[in-house]
Amino acid sequence: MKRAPGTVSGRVLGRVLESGPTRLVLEVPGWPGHRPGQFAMLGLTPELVHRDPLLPRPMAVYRGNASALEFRFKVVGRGTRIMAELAPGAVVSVLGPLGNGFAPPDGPATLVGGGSGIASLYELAEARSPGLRVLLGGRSRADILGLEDFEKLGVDLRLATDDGSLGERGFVTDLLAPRAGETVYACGPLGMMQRAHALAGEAGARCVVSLENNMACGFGVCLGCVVKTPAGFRYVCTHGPVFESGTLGWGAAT
Amino acid sequence: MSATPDLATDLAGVALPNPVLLASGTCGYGAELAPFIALEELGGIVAKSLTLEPRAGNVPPRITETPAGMLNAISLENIGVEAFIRDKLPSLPPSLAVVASVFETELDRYAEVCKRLDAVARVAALELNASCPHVKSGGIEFGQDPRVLAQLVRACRGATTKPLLVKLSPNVTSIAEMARVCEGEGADGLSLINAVQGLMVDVHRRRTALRNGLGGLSGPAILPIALRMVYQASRAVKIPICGIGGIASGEDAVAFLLCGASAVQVGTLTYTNPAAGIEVRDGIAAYCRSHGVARARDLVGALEAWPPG
Repeated sequence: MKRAPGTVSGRVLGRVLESGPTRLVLEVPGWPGHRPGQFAMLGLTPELVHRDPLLPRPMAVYRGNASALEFRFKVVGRGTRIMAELAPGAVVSVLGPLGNGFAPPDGPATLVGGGSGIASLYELAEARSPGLRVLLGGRSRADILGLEDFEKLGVDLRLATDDGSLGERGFVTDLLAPRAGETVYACGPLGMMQRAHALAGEAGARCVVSLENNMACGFGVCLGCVVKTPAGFRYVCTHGPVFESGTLGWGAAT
Repeated sequence: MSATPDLATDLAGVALPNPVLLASGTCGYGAELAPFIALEELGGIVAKSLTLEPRAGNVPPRITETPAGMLNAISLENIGVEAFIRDKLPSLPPSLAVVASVFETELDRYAEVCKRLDAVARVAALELNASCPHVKSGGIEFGQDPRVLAQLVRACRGATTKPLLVKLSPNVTSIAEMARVCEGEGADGLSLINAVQGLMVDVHRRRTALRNGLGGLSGPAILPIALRMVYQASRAVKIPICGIGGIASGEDAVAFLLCGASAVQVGTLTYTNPAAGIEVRDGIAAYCRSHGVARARDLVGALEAWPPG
C-alpha cells in the first residue's frame, strides 16, 4: 500500500551501505519518505537469536531518499559502538518514519544545533528557506556532525565550540539573537534548548525543540520515553519528538 | 501430514485462531499497533492494565536496557476502565479476542473494575494483574502472599462470569502453591510469568538506573525462569496456562507449549518489532510443518522424558 510521505510505514530490513564512527548509511527498500526531524528505530541485532542488545535505537534521520537513509551519531555506549562497526551488507531493522517531525518554516528561522542534535536539523537547513540562519555548536570541532554538508549549502552558518577549535569559543546559544516573529528550531543538550527557549521568549520569537530520550518501542506502547510537563506526562515518541518549547516544564524530569 | 497445521486453540473457554497473544503493557490498547500489523492475525491481545480511575505513571527515567532484556518501572499508567470501554474497544477488529487486564490497589476496587468489564460483551476474558513488581501499594503484595492472592481471586471471581485468568508474579518461593491457590478459588486459567524484580545501577552517577529504584526485568533474559515456572505450575493445576517470558521466536513459543502452556503471550519483543507476535505465530506453524505436527495444541505438555541414564 502506498502511503503519504511521513506516515508510518512499518518495519523493514535495511542493509548497511557505509558505516563509521559518526555515520551510518542504510539501503532501505520501500522507505515512504519522511519529514525533517522524524526518526527511525534501528534494530541492530535482528538476526541474533538472543537479541543482545535487545532494544532498537531511536535515531533522527539526517537525510534520506526513497532508497537510502543516512544517520549521524556519536558513539556514547554499546548500541552506537555496534552501529559504528557494522560491516557493509549487515542487516539492520528499520521502523519508521516515527514522530511528528518539524513543520518547515513559513518565515525567517534560526536553527540551533548542539552535538548529536545537529543530525535532526540538516534537512531543514537543506531547504534553504528565506531568512534562514544556522547555528551549530559542540565541545570541539569533531562534535559538529555533518559540518562539510552544512558548509556546502551556502546558508548563513555560524559556529561555536567550547574549546574554540572551530568558530567562536563558547556556547552555540551565545550566537543566538532571535528576531521577533521568527521561529527558532533547537535540538541538542537540554541546557542548550532551555537557553534557546528563554532567548526566543524574550525576543518575541517562537521556539520549537526536538527532544531525545531512551525508548524501547518508538510507537507509544512502552511508555518509557515520557517527559514531565505542566500538563502531565507526554511521550517523546508519539507526542514529539518536536514540542513547542513553552509546553515543556524545563524541570529536572523534562 | 497436512501442509497447513491447525493452530486453533482454546484458552479457558476462549476460542483462539492461534495460540499467540500479545502481553499486557506491551501492546497498548491495540490501536497503537494497527498502523503496523493486522491485529486479527493474532490469537488475541491482553490490553494494558486498567484501573478504576486514570492513572499517571512514574517520573522518568522509567526504562533501561539490560543484558538480553530491559528493566521497567512504568507503574501502570493507564486511561482508566471507562475510557477503555468507551474509546478503545470499539475500534478493534471484531474478530480479535480482547482480554482486559485488571489492576488495582484494594480488593474492592479490583472487584469493581471486574464488574465494569463483565458487562462488556466485547471483552472475551479478564486477566488479573496480581504481580506488577514495582508498585508500592498493591501488585506485589497481592501476588506474593498466598492468603492475599486467595482473597483477590475470590473477590474478582464473585464479580465476573467471564473467563478469569490470574497473571502470577515470579517473585515467589513456590509458583506451584500460588497456582493451586488460584485454581482453588475458581480461576479459569493462569498467565505466567510477569516481570522478574530487578535493579540496575548507573555507577558513574552512583544512582539506580531507574528513578523508582526497583523495576521489572523482561525480555529473552527471563525465558528460562519463565519456562521453569510454567513447567512447575502446569504440574500443580488442571486449569490452562498462558506462558509468558521473553518469547522471541516460534521455537521459544513451542518450548512453552511443551512445558504445558495452552497459549503464549509475546511481550517485550513487540517493542523491538511490532510484528513479533505474528512472526512467532508463523514460527509455530513452521515448527509444526517441519516436525509433522498436525495440530499445535497437540504440543501442549508433550515434553518427553529422558530415558534412564
